[in-house]
Amino acid sequence: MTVLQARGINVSFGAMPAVTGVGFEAGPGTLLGLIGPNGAGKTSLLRALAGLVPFAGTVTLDGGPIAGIGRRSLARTVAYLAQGEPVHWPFTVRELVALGRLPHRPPFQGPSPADREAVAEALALADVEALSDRRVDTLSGGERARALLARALAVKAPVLLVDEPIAALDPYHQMHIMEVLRAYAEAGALVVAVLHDLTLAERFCHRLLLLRGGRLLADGPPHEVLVDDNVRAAYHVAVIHHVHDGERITLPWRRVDPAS
Amino acid sequence: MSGGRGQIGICALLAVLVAALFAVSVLTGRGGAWLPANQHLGREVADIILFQVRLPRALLGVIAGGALGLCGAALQGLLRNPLAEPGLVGASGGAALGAVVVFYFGLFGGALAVPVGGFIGAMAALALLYALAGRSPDVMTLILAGVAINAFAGALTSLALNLAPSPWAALEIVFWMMGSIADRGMNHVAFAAPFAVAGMALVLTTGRALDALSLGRDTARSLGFSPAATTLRVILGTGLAVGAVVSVTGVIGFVGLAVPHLLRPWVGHHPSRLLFPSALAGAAVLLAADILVRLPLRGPELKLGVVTALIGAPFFLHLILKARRTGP
Repeated sequence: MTVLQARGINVSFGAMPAVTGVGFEAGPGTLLGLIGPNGAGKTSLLRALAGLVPFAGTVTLDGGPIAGIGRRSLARTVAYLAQGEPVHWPFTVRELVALGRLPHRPPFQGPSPADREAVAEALALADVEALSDRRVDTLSGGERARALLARALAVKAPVLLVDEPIAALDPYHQMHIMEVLRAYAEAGALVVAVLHDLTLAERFCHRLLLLRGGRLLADGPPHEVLVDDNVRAAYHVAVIHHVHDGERITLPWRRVDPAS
Repeated sequence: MSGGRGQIGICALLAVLVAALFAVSVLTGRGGAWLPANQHLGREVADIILFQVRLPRALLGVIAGGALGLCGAALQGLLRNPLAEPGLVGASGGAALGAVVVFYFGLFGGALAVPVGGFIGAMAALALLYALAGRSPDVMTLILAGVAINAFAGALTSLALNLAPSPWAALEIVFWMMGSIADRGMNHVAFAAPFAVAGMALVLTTGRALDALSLGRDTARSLGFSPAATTLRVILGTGLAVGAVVSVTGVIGFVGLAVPHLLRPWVGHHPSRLLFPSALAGAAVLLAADILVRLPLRGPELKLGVVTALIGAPFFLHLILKARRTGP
């Protein structure tokens, strides 16, 4: 059970600000979607939360600043899945997923029973058990995305940060990954996911943060964040809404003139 | 997950192989003469041959092969490139230049003048590499900086040859650079061993960080490892170990490149699982090659570096072609 709190986060690359004054607080049981147009600062914010880029402001976990948490301890608390994470050697899926246990393994010791269990659990959660002996470089895009997600799940961290986990996947695999993320969150974790698909973000996330130009434009439940004005202001896109089986669907429909 | 026990088995097997080759190396002479072949030499001469000629040679084979194999595996892990080898960080080029400077200026201040010069050269190359690219997040910068340093050290080495005061000096330099562990004494072993052992110990601490780095820098950091600290440890360890070894033996190529490839089918692709076996296999390969070079009875003895390059270069080509066939 870990509560993540971010206050006044500023990230800049040289003189270029990427994130300006972003703050929010989120706890376990939440799938938090981080949305916004290209260049809005989503990835920079996520990397700041993971402690991967220098930033101004504070990120705390259960009240303690991440800067004061030891490297290994932080690695056990916050798992991070980079966008298009590379796998440089032809590991099997099981070997890849087992790398997620590195923060838990004491020096000079092999995997413990808990490690094996966590790997098996992650393989099952991401539905890649059947692929566990396949080499990563022989997988399709959808299989690879799930294998990489299983690697991040194997950390069993109370906070999971994922950057565009469903980019370049077909609808079946997109929904599959979103279901896995939501299930992981509802099992008691905080999941922060950078997403581009507004329809899926609304469908699966408990809460959305909408960024524009590095600033927080809206923060709340999907139906409050994805209102016409917000989407138009952030994306210069008009959306249509529809209700199906009592669930609201938001669909980007056409571009609008940024000047209007 | 089956790595643990399998790896211990491979290591035990390799250790036995190294011990056997070590014994053969100590007992075999020129043309394959088994000692004591010439009984009439007497006990004293036999002891000199054993302990002052062959023992240092075999010990250097173990140290040099171990350092080259281990550092090759670590660099392939660090640079996430299966074609990396210890020469890449400029330590060999720097050591060659340092040794050549000693030859050229005739600074023979003792039996260890050349190794000391070589080691200083290796350390200088290493410091230059780290200053140029050590903190760069991009491995390509590190590789290219190593290539540039090697090229520059090579150019200066050629310049020394070009301006060599006598053909004798040039010949001396050329022979040294071919790489050999013959005709070295226990003082050479004593010089190289401490640095080589320290460097190898440093490199051996990086296994898990190298495993994590195979998923990229960001993921490695998110798993609790510092890519910058890992880079420093691998480069410093390689510089110490390979620098010390090359400054005693001259340049012995391709061992560090080839050995990890020979082992991957047995121990898998994890850099951490390759490190220790690569040290053992490197020692075995170098001892075996050094036994081979002394088998011909006639003609000048082949230099070890020449033989490893003769075998290693086609192997390197084979790796490139195989990589092209199977994809990255």
